[in-house]
Amino acid sequence: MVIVEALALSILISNHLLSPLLLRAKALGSLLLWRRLSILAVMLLAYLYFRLAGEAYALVAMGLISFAAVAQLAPAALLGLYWKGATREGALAGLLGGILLWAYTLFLPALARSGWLPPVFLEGPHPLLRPEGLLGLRGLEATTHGFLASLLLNLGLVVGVSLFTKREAPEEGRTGEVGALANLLSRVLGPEAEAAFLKEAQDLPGPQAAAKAEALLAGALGPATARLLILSVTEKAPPEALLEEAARESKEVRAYARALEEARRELAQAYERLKALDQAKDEVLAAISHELKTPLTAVRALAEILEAHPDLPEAERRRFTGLLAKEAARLSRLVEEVLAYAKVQAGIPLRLQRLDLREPAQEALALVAPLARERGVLLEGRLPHGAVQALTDRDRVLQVLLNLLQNAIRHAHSRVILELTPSGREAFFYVQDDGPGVPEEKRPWLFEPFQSFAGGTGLGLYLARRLAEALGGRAFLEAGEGARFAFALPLEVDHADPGGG
Amino acid sequence: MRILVVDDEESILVPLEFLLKKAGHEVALARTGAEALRLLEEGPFDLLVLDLMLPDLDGFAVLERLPQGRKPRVLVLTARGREADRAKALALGAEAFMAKPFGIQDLLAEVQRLSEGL
Repeated sequence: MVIVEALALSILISNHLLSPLLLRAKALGSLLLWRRLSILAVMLLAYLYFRLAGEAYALVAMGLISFAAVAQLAPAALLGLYWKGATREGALAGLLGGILLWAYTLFLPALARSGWLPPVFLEGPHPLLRPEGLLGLRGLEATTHGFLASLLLNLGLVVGVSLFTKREAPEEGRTGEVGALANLLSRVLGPEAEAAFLKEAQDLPGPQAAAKAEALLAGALGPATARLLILSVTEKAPPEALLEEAARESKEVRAYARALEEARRELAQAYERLKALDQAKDEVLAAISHELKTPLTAVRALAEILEAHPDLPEAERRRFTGLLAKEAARLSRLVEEVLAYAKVQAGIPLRLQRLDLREPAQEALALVAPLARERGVLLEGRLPHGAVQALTDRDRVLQVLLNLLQNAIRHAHSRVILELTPSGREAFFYVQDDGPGVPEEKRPWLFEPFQSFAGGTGLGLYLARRLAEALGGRAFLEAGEGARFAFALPLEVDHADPGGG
Repeated sequence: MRILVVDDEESILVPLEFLLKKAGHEVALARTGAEALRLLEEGPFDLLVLDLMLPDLDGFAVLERLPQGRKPRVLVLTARGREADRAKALALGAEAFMAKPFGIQDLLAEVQRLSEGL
């Protein structure tokens, strides 16, 4: 037991007192020597004490007195652990007071009893201050009395002084590089400790890694040495509040960066859209000029021929003037549609009125009747008997129907049907022809501008769809055989967005 | 001179046929690229007046597929006045290029120039 205690004490002394001193003196190499010397000193002291006090006390009594001394650590340790209000000053005052009272009531009387000190250390300066019976207490065994008295004073001082001193800021945190810490551990504790530390601390933030390394070092070298060593490879961690502030700020910066990135992407998209629109505009312009050039060429050539040959045979002259009239009509239709296209691009103002949808249907049929007759196409309207009321723009509805009907008549063999059917909250116009239908591969382009498949301007269906959408409805090709175009119009609708753009 | 005129527009074919016949040429008409190639196989032509925008094979495709042997000279007509089209047509063997709308005098002068080179 003596050996174990001597070892324990000497390790405590070397770890907590000697090694920090040696470290400061940069003489850590002599640690083992100093540890051996401290073992020797502890054993010599113990022997000395035994020689001094041993004659008046049994070994057990000496052990109890030592125990009372060690017990002085308890209040500070326990309160430090479980009471947030405990301060360093309180703990020091408690320890100091406890040890002094311990010396007064137990240690010095023991020496006096052995004859090494005068008997006044047994009697005390005053009857109330008698070392083995403070405040005139009698009847308590001396060791118990000294133990209780010193601990009570110790506890009182810890609590009292703690209450009157301000709690010191906790020991400053340290932060460091995992690599540097591992390097230190490798030097002090060996490569195994380094490997174990790296495994655990690889992904830890600086302060936590430093704390872990310090804990590992403290286990082997004691906290004071560990602290000193850690100080050499770490730097002061910023205070918690600063860290929180930094975290908050970096969060804000990140949010700001995200918003910026978002804005940049939106701008890039807007730019791409504008570029596409601009390109589309160029293509539209090219398409329009191309569409204009063909009839213009014919008109110019035919007019020049008629002018240069006034003596043409009647049949030939009539053929040329017929062609000339047809191409002139084509030109004017084209110009009209281009103007309508420009209007649609600029936005479509609506003049809403309550009306019976059978009305524009009938008018559209009447307007395309001459074209149908010319092409030998039979025109048929299938309108319901009752009125189909809707709040919409009459002229726009008429325009959509005309475009769909003209398109159908151009493609029909012999027959075009216009049908009007209210269904749920929508009215459906169907325009059906008995022509060859739309080839599968051309369906996706059907409603795009300038995609003509049969000598039209390629604008009719595009305009029909844009106008239908402006009216809150839609225009589409029904799936299946033949060409059956549908134009759906809401019976009650908000016209908040007049389309365009 | 035997001339083949290729255009999908009736209103272009009719005046061209009239003018070229009046100028003393023998004229054949085609409305599609395929029809033009078939006529070119059947008999040799001295001049091909070719529109670039055709419904099936376009003018470039016709130029690429011209029968080997006695190739006709080629006058390209187009409504697309793009420089790239002109360069491509010339690279494919066309000798003259006219943008629509053209005047009949210009066309006849160009045909005359090409026939003199024969």
